[in-house]
Amino acid sequence: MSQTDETPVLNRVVTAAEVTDFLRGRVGRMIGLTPDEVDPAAPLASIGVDSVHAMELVAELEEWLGTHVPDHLAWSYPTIALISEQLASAESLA
Amino acid sequence: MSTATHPEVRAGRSTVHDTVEDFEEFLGDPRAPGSRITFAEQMEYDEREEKAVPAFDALAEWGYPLHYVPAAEGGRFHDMERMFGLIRSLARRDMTPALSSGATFLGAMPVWGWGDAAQRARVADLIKAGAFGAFGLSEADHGCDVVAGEVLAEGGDEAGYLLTGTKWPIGNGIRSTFATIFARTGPAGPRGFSAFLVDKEKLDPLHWATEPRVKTLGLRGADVSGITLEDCPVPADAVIGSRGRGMEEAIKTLQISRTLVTAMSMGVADTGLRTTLDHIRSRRLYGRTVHEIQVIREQVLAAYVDLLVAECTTAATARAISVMPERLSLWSSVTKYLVPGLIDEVLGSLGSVLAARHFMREGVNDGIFQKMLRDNRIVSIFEGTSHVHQHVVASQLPSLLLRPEYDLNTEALLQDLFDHEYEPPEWDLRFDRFKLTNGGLDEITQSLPDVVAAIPAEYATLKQVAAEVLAVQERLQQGVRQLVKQGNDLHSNARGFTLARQHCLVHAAAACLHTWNANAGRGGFVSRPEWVVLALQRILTRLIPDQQLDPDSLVVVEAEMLSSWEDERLFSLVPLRLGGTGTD
Repeated sequence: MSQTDETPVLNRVVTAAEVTDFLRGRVGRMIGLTPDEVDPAAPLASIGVDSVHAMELVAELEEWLGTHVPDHLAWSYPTIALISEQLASAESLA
Repeated sequence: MSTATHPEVRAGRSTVHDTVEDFEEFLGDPRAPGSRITFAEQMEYDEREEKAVPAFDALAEWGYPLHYVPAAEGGRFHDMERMFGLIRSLARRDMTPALSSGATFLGAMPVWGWGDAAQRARVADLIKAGAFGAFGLSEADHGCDVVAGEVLAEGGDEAGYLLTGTKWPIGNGIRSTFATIFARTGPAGPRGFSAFLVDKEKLDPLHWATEPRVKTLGLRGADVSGITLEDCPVPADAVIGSRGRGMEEAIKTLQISRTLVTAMSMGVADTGLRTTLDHIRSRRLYGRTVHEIQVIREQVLAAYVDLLVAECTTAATARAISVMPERLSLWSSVTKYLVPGLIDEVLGSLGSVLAARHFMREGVNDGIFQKMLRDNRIVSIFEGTSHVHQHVVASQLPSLLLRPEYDLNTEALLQDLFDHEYEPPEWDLRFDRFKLTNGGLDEITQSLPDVVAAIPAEYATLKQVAAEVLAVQERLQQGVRQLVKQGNDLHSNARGFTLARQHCLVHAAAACLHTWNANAGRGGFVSRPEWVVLALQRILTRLIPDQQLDPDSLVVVEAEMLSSWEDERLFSLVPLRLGGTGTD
């Protein structure tokens, strides 16, 4: 099942909305919800993403973005919305 | 009598079983004085709480530690299934050397997985020279929560690092020459840890010390202790793999080690059952042997069937290390949760059959039973406790709800996972294919509806019992859906843990059915439906009360159990000759 576009986004700037879509798809699959049911404002830890899943999420993000993401990302920005904002602004600065 | 060349006995095996038989033959019958590792001698060392030196000498002579070293480094490691078989054979004599020696492999694994050429060469040299290793992950205040570890590695430029903190309790803390130490190299979080290869011989003695051995319930000859470091300098090139990836390395290493430790439970269970039969087939009460008492007969048979259930579950996980390591995060946790506990139950039940004899540190088979009982208690605790594994399974249950299509790829994968004739390829011990989660994929349980539907109508009893398992699976999936809908995460919820346990039992049932399917064509006991009927019934006993074992199946399965006992074959679906049975 692939309801979000998970083709790697090499060599282009991603928007916060794209990151949000990607993460809602991945997180939804992890916790048994459709992407639409995943609340981007909910803390990841409170919706069933434990530390191992968070590690997996970071690895998947890197694969998708084709670049290294900050190690502490899922820790310091514990919601999908915050991660998306942070990543999009970091990408546009790069 | 030679069974090794008997065609019926040779079918349904691979070279893995040849390696194990060779090891068995070298070690001999542990009940017989003069064999290389005897119950009597191991008992003495256990009583004295000392390392059983003669056992380790025998292992070195056969080349057992060389199986911890990949071929590229001059060792004999080939595949994990073989390792599993060797550990089981050693543990059926005594789990203590299996564990003490195994801790060396565990300590080396991150080096094989992610280490550089120099690290690999150094660890290979040490192991070949007989050195012990340790895996330094546990800390006193953060047993299971490894992300909370406090041992600190400061620095990190060319000058290297300073390590500070205590790893405790760990295996081989004192005896080890090298250790893999996991330490904080950044802020708390998944990438805040790194693994270090610590060569004790090269450490400044003023900056480290060992912690005293812990007094334990079982494994009294083992070295369970710790290592304390204080501003202890290690060079920059001690980091194994990339800085910040230590936790990932630890988690992936544990997917293997937690699978391998269940081999110890399997070995212990074999001796538990064999010792029980040795006693009750010869002891006479009321003019007959104890075994002829109906209640005892069924209790002992149930233990044998539970052992087969455990084998089907764990053999496929060990196989998955070769075939589909991408699925190990879930499968290894299912196995580690289920098998040690199942064997604790087997030993408890057999203990009640042995009655007073099970409490004696002498007598039947030199009193080994009570040692096995004590030793196995650790298996459900180390390498992640049962609760840790229930957490892992619970956290992945929602992702499994979407069932992928059952197709030819699934069928081929299941065949490879469960076929007793599969030849595992050589593995270089690099962990490229390992994942942190299964990503919603679990062919073993997701194929269950199709596999149950495909059971031929002629096997009516099996079809009916399998349908009951399927009903459990459906209820459990509804339970998961409900919890998800209510916004509960399963892994911090008691109901979620219950569902995780049920999933593990359903997994075991599926594993039994897949084993039967994959080996159906070749005849022999494994292709009979009776053992599967009883296996599923024993699993259902743990899910639905008041199960009656099918009487027609009992007869067939008991005959196999007794012939395995009489002919000195492992209690297993794979015919495997035990040591001391002679080759002429």
